[in-house]
Amino acid sequence: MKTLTYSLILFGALLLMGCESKTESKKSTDIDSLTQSVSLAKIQVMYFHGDRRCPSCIAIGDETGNLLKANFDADVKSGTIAFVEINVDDEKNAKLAEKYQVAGSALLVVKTEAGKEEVTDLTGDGFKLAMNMPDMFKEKLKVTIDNYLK
Amino acid sequence: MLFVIFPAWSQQEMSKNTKLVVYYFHITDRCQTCTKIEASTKAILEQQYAKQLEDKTIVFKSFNVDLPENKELVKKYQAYGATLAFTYIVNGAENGIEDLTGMAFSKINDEKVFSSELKQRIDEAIK
Repeated sequence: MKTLTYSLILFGALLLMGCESKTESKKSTDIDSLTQSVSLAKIQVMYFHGDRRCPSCIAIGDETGNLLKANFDADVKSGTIAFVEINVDDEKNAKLAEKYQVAGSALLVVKTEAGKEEVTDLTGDGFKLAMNMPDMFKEKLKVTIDNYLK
Repeated sequence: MLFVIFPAWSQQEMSKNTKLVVYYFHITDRCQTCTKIEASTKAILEQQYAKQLEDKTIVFKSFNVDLPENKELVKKYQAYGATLAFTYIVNGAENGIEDLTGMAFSKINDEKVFSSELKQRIDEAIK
């Protein structure tokens, strides 16, 4: 009986270890794949938010998506521009949030050229304009992207 | 002529001491983050700059952007949604506006960083 109990405990422990290592490897794959897909595009439009999104925050994401679809569809399809949505409350995104010093919501346009990054922070414009003045917001975002595409 | 460029409320609430006006704009239906930014800003001012609030070196004002009476201010600060803006005053005249909305929304969940970013600017403004 004792041997059976020990065997069951050992089996349980092995099972748990197996699960844990699988979770760990998934975590690093997620981080790597996200970082990789983000760094492939020349321009990354990075939209950070938390689990609970307010109407202004939702409007920023929606209007950014609308602009990209209406004005930069070909660039998105060709991979020149990537729209990346990042939930900062998801542990797997902690590294990205830390890299861009985001502890809340943010909209960043990041240009990568010759391994160097240039960042334009449109968070303020997003919260001030996206909900009540969406055209003004989209114009500011468009100008930023156009400048980076040159 | 003093404060001629400022709105009506400034005549009563500002003084010759005023060096910084902290504006917070919000919509009627406020989200948790918007409320938190205002509360944290006020808490920093009240806890660490109580004397400057009392002698009006620093003035804090909050406005609802949806109210028609705030239309002109909203236009000036392009505050069509939640907005945190510092207006610096030198000798009774406006000497620059700094928009801190982006910083506020992207740092608010890290109270230490948010507080340090604000304090750095406040200290510079009132020295």
